[in-house]
This record gives sequence, structure tokens and C-alpha cells, in this order.
Amino acid sequence: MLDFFRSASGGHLEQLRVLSLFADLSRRELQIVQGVLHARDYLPGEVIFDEGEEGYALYIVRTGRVLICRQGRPDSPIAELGAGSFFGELALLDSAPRAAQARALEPCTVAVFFGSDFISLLETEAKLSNKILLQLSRHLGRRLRGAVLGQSTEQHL
Amino acid sequence: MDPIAVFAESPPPEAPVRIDRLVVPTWQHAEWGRVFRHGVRRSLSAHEVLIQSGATDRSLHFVVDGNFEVGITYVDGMSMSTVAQINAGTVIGEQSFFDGHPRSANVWAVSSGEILTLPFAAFETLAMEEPPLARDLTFALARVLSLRLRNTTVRVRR
Repeated sequence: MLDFFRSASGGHLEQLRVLSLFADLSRRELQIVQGVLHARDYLPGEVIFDEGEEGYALYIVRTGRVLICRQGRPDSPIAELGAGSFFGELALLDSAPRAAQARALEPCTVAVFFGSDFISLLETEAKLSNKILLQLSRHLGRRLRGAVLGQSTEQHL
Repeated sequence: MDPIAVFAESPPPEAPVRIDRLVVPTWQHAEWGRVFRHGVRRSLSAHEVLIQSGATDRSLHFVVDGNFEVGITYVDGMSMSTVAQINAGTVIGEQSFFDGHPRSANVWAVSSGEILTLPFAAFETLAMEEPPLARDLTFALARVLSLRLRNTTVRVRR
């Protein structure tokens, strides 16, 4: 389990709360979420997940930078994510194949939120999971707006 | 058309297959009824506008009957492109419902149809009164968003 969101002086969940996904959670709810997160370390260039793989977790960047790109095309990044960002969020909703590759740009520590743990929270913590779902849906809505506008621009051009 | 039957029962074989159908596997007629009692039914004529781009309303519309189109107006304000066609068994307006931002597209009825509108305030009431129902509905809506996002992203790549 993960405790690296706690500061050296003891105990703080505020770093978790700054993530938009968990912004509405109470202290008790943050503690529950913290209890199901798992820490993973990656070396520079290491693949966190690959395009086409089944998705089974959301990842939160704790330290370092992560590159999102098409498989085998790290020179054409889709996005570069730093501490406090999250990616792979669609895996909380289904296990469809990953649409892109995620790889560490530098030494990284990420928190992994497994879809199976989220499903357990859905069953046991309705209010908590609904707050996360609302934030996740807002995030997806923003992405969809961006994608549709990009599409219209592309078609227009 | 009975809104509860449209969403609680499997679509007829002749109905078009929708990958973004709103599905809550664990719900029966009773659960849909408890959600829909918070909504308002409305009939639309062919060509009637349901959502105007830029509007600040954040209601969620459940499509009970008919066909609808989603269109985006380009920056020049003169041309428009249809980006999606939507029919019974799914929802319209989920982006503004969640994020509260103005509507990003126009939606109009292609044929006569019927919707059931759930205002965001009614959803908040539902979430207070029945958290498990609100959680199930939010999860199903998030999956619709996810599917539409994947579909849109694939189309953009092509």
C-alpha cells in the first residue's frame, strides 16, 4: 500500500487532495483512497503500459515525468506529464485496450489505482466513489470537448 | 414510448446498434423509475432544436424516442458539421451536465421524438437521497463519455 503521499512531518493527505480526481473527498475518504493506492518506480525509458494492452489501472505521477506517445514513436509525444498529473483513467471504467504508450522520461514514482480496487470502492463506499466518478466524468467531458473541437478543426482545414 | 422500458429492456433486434447505449446492468424497471421520477418528459417535432451551442443549461437528456443530430458550428459562423447521430437508449448533454460549462454543440431532432430531461439540481437531490443510485448512474454515464471519447479520438486519428 501507499504512504508516500504522507509528508515527513506526518500525515498529510493534502497532496492527494490537490489532484482534481480527489478534490471533493473528505479527510476520511482520502484516507480510504490512500489505502488502496500502490507505489511503483520506473527507470528512464521504461514502459509503464503499452498501446494495445488491456487497461487495468489509473496512474498518478508522484515524481518525475511521463511521456504519452504512440507505440515506437517517442519522438512524437502526445503529452508529457509531470507530478500531480494522472493518466490511464479510462481503465477505471472499462478494460478496453490502451490507446497509447506511457513511458518514464526520467526516474519516476507513480501511484497506481487499480480498477478492481475502484470497483470494490463502488460497492462499499457509494458517496466516495460517486465523488470520484463525478470528477472523472468532468475530466472526460473536457477531453471530449477538446477532441470534438480538434476534429472539427481538422475537417475544416 | 415508456422511458423506463426503453432503458431497462434490451432494444428490439431491428433497432440500430449503439455502442454508447446507457446501460446499468444491475438495474431493473424499479431503479430506472426512481431516477426518472426526478425528470420531465418532453416531445419534440422534427427539426426542433433541443440544445443551442453556448447555452448555460446543464440538464441531461435521456433519449426515449426519435433521432437526433449533434452539430458544431465553425468559427466563421456560417458552416456546420454533424459530429454525431443519437437515438433512443442513450443520453445527450452529458458534458455540460458534469462540468457546468456552456453547451459546445447544437442538437436538433431529425424526426419527431421524445426525451426525458433530468436537471442537474434533480440529480443532486437524487445523490443526496439515494447515493447508490446516483453512483450507478454516474458510472454508466462515465462509460458513455469514455466510449464517445474513444470513438471520437479514433475518428480524429483517421
